[in-house]
Amino acid sequence: MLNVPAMKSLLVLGVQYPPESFLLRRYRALAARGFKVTLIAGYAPTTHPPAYEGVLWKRDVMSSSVPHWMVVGYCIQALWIACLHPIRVGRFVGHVLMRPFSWDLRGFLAHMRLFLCKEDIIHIEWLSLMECFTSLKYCIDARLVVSCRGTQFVNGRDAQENNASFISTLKRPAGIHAVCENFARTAREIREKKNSDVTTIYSGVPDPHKMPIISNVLSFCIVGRLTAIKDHELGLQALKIVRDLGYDCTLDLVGDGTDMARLRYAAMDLNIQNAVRFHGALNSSKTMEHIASSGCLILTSIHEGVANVVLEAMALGVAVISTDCGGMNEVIVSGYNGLLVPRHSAQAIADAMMHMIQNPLHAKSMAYHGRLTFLRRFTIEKSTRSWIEFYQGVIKNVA
Amino acid sequence: MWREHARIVLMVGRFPTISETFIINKFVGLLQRGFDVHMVCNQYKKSLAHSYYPNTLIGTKHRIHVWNPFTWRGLWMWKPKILINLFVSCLAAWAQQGTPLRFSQNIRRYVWQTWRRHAMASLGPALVHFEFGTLAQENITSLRDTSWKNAVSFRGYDIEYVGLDDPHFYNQVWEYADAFHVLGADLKRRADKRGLPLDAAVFQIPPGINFSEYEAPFKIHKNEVIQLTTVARLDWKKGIEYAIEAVALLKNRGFKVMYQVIGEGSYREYLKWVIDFYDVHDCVILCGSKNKVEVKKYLFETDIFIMASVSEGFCNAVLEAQASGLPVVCSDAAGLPENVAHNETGYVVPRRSAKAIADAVETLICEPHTRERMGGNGQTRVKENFSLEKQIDAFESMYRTLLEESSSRQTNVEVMPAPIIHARVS
Repeated sequence: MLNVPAMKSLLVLGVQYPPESFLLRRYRALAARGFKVTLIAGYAPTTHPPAYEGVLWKRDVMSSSVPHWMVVGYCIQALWIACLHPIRVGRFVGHVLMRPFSWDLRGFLAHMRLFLCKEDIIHIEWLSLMECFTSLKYCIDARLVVSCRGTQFVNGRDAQENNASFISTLKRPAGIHAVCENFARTAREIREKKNSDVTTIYSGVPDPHKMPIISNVLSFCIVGRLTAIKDHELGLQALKIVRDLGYDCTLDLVGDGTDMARLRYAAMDLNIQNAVRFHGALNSSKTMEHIASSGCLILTSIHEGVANVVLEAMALGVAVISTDCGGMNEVIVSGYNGLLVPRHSAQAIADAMMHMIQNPLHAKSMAYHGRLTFLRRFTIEKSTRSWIEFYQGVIKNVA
Repeated sequence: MWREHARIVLMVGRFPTISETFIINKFVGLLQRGFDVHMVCNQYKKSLAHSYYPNTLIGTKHRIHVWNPFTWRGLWMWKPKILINLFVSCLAAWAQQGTPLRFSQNIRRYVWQTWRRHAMASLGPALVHFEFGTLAQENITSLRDTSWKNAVSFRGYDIEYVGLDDPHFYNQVWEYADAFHVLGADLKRRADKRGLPLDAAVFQIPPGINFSEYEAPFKIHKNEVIQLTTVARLDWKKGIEYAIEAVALLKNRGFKVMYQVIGEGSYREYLKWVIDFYDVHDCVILCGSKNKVEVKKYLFETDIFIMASVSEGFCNAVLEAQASGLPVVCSDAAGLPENVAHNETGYVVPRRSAKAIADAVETLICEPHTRERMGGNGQTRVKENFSLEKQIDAFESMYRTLLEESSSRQTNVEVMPAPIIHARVS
């Protein structure tokens, strides 16, 4: 047995502050197990709120919010490092000089800092961000891990038709994490040789430890950013169809975004404004309350990795209607723990809603099985364990 | 002549924007009639003005005022009087609203309002026309505390999206404006719903286009592939996804069609996905935004014009398509049924329905002579009802009525002879 260095520290790139809740959950779980987690973001909080305990924030040199005097500081630091590691830095500088258009001081310094960082694993959370860190290709691909997530991955595939940069991006890192098996399959196809290093890790959600009693099967709930990609208008159209059949059901929309005006107009135009409630963006506990108080959660997206909100609803024991997008068919077995409907079809969603209303017993059993599925596959402990295994595996491969 | 002595100020937000041709048409049209017209805006982009509207704005530099209190140019227009006024109105607002927090949120607005009112007074207008209802709402003191006449235009944007949470959002505008202008009967109805008083002087003036620019004899193209075109921003309001779905239906029915969308916007990614979803890569093109001359070229090669809007004011693009002799398939959103005469110059179909669009287009593809007839009808109808001349005439009479009447409120509603509105397809 080789002496494999154990993973001790993790550097995360491409996270905005404040981070998405599912990312934060993971970092906190890793930090709780004694790993040193450092995040590099455009903005870093000066004081650490308790939610980020154990997670270290650093400011990105590339971001414009860094003042000039700090850039000067980085310059001095870079010179010092150049004295200590002349050969490595020489290779790096040589690589930068080869491409005259990348002579950007901030970018150069940022890359330099990444190049020399001491962390065992460097994790880029969004695949599309790989393009920003071109120098990683030559320097530290041994420790590089990239996540393939919903929209980013599909947009990347779109670029794949136009140029080869997507393929080269995907071939570069040592380890690839995919949020669902569907994406992992595509990534494996592209990476051809190394089949084993694309790993699917489903995200985990915390256990609410309660089972709501669904009293009102006529109330539905949609949670998510209000953007075109989530296609919430379909939900409104479906609601219209169901209401026209004589069922007095209501819809709660939790979330905010660019499509707010569109949805408000649609509710007015379809004449269901009294049945739709817009709650705006809420914090996670209030969102959970809304999900728990509704009879059924609807996901109308056209792109998705695995929607965390669906997992949360399953954990709560709420029935789910979801479109068959991205990795949702790996989570939901239609009729067993939720209903899957084809994408971009209001009629299909309406039919599913009707099914939920007319067969409350079946809805209840689906909610129960959803809870079971969550306990088996999507707990936060399970996901943390597989993350650690994944990181260790990457280090092992490199060694 | 009264025209030269009564100074009219048109108030717009940003100027120019590519989708607001009507403002520039009106400005130039009124100038040509000998009016003393001035235009006031917050932002002005000279380069854009020249690329969008070449040769139209020559010699009008002194009539376009870019007013912003926070720029160097705007700085010298500050006067002690304005500061005193601002102070007083701030105090009043504070007393009215109670909490300093909300007051501090609104202070920027008070500065704009007060400053702009004084700047406007320095022009000495007889009449100020706010081209958007929201502008009037933002500058309510210019309506309330001044002696000149005020007219306010209400367009689709003002009525349908702004201030929906607050039922009293436009109350002050309803109260203090002297006259209102709406584009069509449908917008009037919607404005009524939002509280437009019954006794208000409402002028219903549809937009006009310069017909001679678009006039082209209709011809049936001998191509095998039918060209469908939409000229619109890539935006949710324009419902382009329904048109793409309709194209997919037509493709499945065995028709050879080519659908091009001229315009740019935030929904490009989404529409690309929709094209991918229905697998119509080979017959849908998103062309990006084009200038006026290029759009004319595209229209000349088109067979059928489609406008599948979900929400619409009146839509000048459809007018221009009709003027260039194209049959139109459009949805029944807001002003479109007034714009297109059903069965006469095109088909008006229910909105959010791809199947209805596909059926209407199919009919037109199968009957080239209907296309020819509708194209011809459209040209005559636009020429008769929606010419620029006619629009300017209507504005002239509106301004004359406003400036000559003695009382501030007029009781009767004046309506320009409206085109016949046909019932929509069931």
